[in-house]
Amino acid sequence: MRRAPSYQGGWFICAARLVVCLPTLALGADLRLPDFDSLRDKASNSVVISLDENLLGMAGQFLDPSVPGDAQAKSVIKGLKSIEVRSFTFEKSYPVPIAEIAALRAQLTPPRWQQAIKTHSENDHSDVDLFIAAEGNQAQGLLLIVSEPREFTVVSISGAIDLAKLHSLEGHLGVPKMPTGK
Amino acid sequence: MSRDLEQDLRQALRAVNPSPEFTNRLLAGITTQRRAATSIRRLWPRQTVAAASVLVALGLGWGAYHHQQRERALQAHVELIKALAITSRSLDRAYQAVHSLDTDKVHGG
Repeated sequence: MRRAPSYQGGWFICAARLVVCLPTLALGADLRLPDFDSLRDKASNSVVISLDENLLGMAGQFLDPSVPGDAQAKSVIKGLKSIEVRSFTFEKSYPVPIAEIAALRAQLTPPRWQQAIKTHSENDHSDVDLFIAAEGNQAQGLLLIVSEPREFTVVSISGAIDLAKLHSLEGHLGVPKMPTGK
Repeated sequence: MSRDLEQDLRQALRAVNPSPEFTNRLLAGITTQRRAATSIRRLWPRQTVAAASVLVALGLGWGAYHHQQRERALQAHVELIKALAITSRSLDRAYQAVHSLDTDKVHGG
């Protein structure tokens, strides 16, 4: 086995379908994302983005509906309350910010927050954790933590999010589309 | 009789030098009126300039605010595109991780 997961089959797809099937969700999962200052000094490239509803609205004004990527982005952010990203790229291996991750995980209390995906790869030493906040059948937020040997990324989104649309943004927005299989 | 009348009239209508007191009062009155007129004339341009300054200041302030908001929105737009790109890429990593597990299960049992 290449990977040693504690994973429940099809969770990702189920989670995606759940969010797709609920296009107008009343979302309000307020997470406090750390800035991961301990990583900033060591990172060769840092991205710290926090956009609230107001800024998302302002940014949306510059999305051109006639451009396919922009139109898709506009449809994705419609109904979002916030989007926060912390992403760090390193030249060499970095110390995983255990304390910050623990502080973040402490906020993900059940039953509101459920872990949808948890994978660990021994081969490429990567971990992926996806949490979804839900009340009944309604998702209320999303938290994604991706740890790789040279990259660490945390994404938090609250609001009416369409996961499938968000995923399909790849290939637009200047991001090259990655191969889906290995 | 008519001579006396003529005499009296001449006497009454003769040129008389004004008293210094009268002259002073007259000059003082004229000066006051001139000052009042001048101050009104001076006040109008000042008020106009002040009003224009306020309008210009308001216009500049609004322009600066508008420019600042536009800059902020542009910055937010750039950040949004970057955030969505990173999110999309990270979701793809998650998808790949799950997909790879499914493949392993199929091929590896």
